[in-house]
Amino acid sequence: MTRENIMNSVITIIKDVMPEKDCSEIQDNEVPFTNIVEMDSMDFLDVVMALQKNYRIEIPDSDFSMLRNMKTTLNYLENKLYSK
Amino acid sequence: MRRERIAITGVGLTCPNGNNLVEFRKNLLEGKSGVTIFKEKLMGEVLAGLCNYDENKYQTKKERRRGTRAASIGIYCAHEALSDANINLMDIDKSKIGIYVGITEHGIVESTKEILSIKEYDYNVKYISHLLNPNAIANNPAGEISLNLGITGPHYTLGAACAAGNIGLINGAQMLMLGDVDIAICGGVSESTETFLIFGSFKNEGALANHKYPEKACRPFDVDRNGIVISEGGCLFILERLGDALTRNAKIYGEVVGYGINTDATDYVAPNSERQAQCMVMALNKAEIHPQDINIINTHATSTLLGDETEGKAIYKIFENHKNVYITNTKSYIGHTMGAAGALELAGELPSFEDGFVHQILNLDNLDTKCMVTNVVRNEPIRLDNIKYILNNSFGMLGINSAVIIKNMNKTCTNGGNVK
Repeated sequence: MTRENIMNSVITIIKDVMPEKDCSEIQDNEVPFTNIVEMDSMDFLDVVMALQKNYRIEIPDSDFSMLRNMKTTLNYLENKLYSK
Repeated sequence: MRRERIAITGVGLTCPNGNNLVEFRKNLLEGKSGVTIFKEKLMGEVLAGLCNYDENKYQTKKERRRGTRAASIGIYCAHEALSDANINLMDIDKSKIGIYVGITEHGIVESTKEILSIKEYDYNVKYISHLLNPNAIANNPAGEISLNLGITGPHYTLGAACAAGNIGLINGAQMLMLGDVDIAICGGVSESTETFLIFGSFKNEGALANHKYPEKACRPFDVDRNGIVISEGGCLFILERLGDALTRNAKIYGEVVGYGINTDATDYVAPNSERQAQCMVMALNKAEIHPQDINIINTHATSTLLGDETEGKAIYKIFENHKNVYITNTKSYIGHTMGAAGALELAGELPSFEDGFVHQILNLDNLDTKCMVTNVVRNEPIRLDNIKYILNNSFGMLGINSAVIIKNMNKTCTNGGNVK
């Protein structure tokens, strides 16, 4: 699975969680998701749960800070998936 | 003690044969059923009543995804009721509005879905959704309405089995009488078709209807009745103190003049004719009227053998053969909408004050004489001049009984709400 594939699936998850939001500005960079799509804390937990289910991984609370923007999220997921 | 007089000034509803009162009433008078075949994943084909209102009319897709079907139904009904009552929330103190929503159950749908969801992950509890708590909690349907509308007065649900729709309305009226709120949004909702557990439990109790033709399955008081049709739906009323309603020139559907709530204390599921009769008498006494003053009785009858017979006997005890008391039923059209049933069934009768008709009971081909109901409306609606009082029965498991009496205000109230 390429980094781009993972990014597309993360964007799909964010769109599912917030169908009314425009996700076109989300890119592989360190701009926080909250700055782009006004993600509240419940939205964030929804995204985390969807990531866990989608990739059948466990994301402990202590790792949440690594999921605040696309770049660190992809780094985190790549590390998780390749170390499975 | 002088009691505050309470008026119904708005109705919002969705049910298997209508998404507003005008459509619902039209289909009742035309004998149009909303019962259909529903393919439930685990149960297979069952009969059910499903709603087709627009879920996104008053909620964003995100709000709907995050919340529950019961709350979605409630939000739809609340908006429709406020609009019908011509109330603009921008103009009023939202801390003086109360939300009182009757439910048969809540949380079973959400818990079922969650358990099925984590089953795919070998029941790893790490995958339990953080949304389960706010969704399964008992006040969810009322709470989501308050969130959606920004209403800061009291909100809660009333768990009262299948009497809950009536009891939601009664509680709203009581809170207005106490002066705790100025506007009550009240009634009941049901999302019962969303879980196989409810279908399965009724089926294994031998209480689930079956019929070759779905629209003929629910047949209260008929000799061939064989059980209930489970349905979803909702109905919320706007109630106000009569003086307030008249001051703002509100349309008034009717006045809540009597109600009764009591309990059988005899069985988990089997109803009690004596207690049901006492409940109706409580409502008549509160309304300060006699049995023969009632023009329409909307029965609770669910199309079960025991339930219909028990209610029929209770009605006979009080009303005997009074020729001006007509007996009808709404579940024969829409199935049993559980927590919404009392409210929906009352709503469907209210237009009779205006149009002068009593809708028929569907599928009543051969009246079961054991039910002892006379003066039933069957085959087609009947025309009835000067309809003044409607009695609405709603009963539920664990022996909870309720009866509500609504008075026609059309020709009786012209002096500021002080007439008797």
